[in-house]
Amino acid sequence: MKDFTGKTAFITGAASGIGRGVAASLAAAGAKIAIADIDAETLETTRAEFEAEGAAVLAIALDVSDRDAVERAADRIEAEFGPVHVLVNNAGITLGPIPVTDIDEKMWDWILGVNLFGVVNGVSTFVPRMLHGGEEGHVVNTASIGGLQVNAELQNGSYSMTKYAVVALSEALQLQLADSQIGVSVLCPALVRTTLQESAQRRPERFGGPYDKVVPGHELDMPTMQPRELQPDEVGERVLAAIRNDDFFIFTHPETRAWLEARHAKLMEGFDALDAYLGR
Amino acid sequence: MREFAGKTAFVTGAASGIGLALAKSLALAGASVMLCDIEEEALTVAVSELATIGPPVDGVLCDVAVLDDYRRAAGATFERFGDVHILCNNAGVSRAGAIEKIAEQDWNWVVGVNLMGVIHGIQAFVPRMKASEDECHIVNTASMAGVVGGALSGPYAATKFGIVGLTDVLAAELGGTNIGVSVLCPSWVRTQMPHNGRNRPERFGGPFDLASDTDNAERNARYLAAAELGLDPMEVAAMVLDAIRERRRFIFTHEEGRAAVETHEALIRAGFDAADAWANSRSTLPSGAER
Repeated sequence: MKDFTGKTAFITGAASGIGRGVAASLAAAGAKIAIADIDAETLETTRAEFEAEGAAVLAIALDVSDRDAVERAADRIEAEFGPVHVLVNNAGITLGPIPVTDIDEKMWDWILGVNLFGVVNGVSTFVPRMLHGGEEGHVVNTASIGGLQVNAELQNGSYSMTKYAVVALSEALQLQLADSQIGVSVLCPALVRTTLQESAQRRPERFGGPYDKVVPGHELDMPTMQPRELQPDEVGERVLAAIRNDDFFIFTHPETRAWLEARHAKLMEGFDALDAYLGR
Repeated sequence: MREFAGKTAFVTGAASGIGLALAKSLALAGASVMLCDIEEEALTVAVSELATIGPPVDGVLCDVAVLDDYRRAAGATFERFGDVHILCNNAGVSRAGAIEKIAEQDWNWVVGVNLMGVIHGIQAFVPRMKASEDECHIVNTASMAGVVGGALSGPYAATKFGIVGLTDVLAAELGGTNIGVSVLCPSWVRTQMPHNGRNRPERFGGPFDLASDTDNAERNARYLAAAELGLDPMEVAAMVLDAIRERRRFIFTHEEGRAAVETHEALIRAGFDAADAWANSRSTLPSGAER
């Protein structure tokens, strides 16, 4: 997909952070943007700012873990902007530094609900409509560099687990849509200036409501192994370029290549061990 | 862990397939084994078969997706055998189809068994493993579908990648402790896996027959044929025991998986090459230029 003029884009988690950055780059490229977020107040501020800059923008307060609500959002966007061409399943949350043995069922429901089912709901709702429309389109799912390897220092295993699942879902979707007019990408950024660490303040009531940012007993100093922090607008530009180029993996931090090479070496060690076991 | 004699193992999905082979191999190696499964009849048969080997074996009926049920099963195991040293989070299910065609209840079923089942296992056993200070090991059954992408089985792919990720996490969280972790990534194995719809609980829609899944008939036929020609589960179990002895993280069973992983790695490399090209194109812009 090269030309975004007059096209419609739907971006979740777009009140701030990466979602906002991607929405800004799509709007600058001429797309009408439907922005969704669970934080209705910030979303309205963002909407007004986009509108002041001349963008065609529609704001929808949305909990992406609610399939019916996502369907309703799709109906509303179609009614106001016409069919969606670019779907950006970006909304995500973190539980912060907490060992996987200490996370209760409600917390698992929440992080799986947003990070995994948010993507499932977006894909399941919009992809059939996009296929039916027959026009060129693109799906971007926001995973993380933590969806391809684990940084022990971050102590954020539940987040990583869900992001591995998002990578898998994106790969499955790309294979499934390989012969269609819809491209698929998965965004795997490292450190970006976002409000991800404020997830706790936005937890919906059905998952227990807002809570203190840090679970008592799990305070964590910022890890030492950190790449350069990017601004959301830079990531937005990167994503736009990647959609135009139909890149599947969208990386934002070249320095993370070494992290994935290290993990790949571990997989290869597994195959070397198999060879040794089989006496080859 | 060099020696299995006198150790206790807890194996989920132990009434058939890889789980049964793991339970049998561990018993043959001298371990006491608690077999855990959702399928009552098969479990009874498996327990009576393994009871003839020698070490104490027993069975516990459990839906691993249900935390309270899992806790009850773990409690019964502690009561029967004391501490557990080897945990095999092996129970797994799948539902075929394009992502948007999978019903929410099937997503919940597959995520419940494949992901939450593993998490419940870790939560039920790791604290006591840590406290015991004995040498312990956890094996999570994922799949080659947990390291390379696949189409038309989104819930399986997502949860198996999730299990591999969770194992990477456990390796980080339990590094340097008395607990080792491995993830099993097999390709085709001769098991009942294609027929796992027989065990779908009522709350997720109840049992279904593979033949009723007409939307995916072609794919299912291929899967059945491939599973028929797959590895003997006992061969897979032997590889797992070897990996536990050597405390190895990744357990692959099919050499052809190496090429698949390398192809996948090439896709990642292409992503970084594209990111580099983009970064270079930006940095060559004159400063202050419109981007």
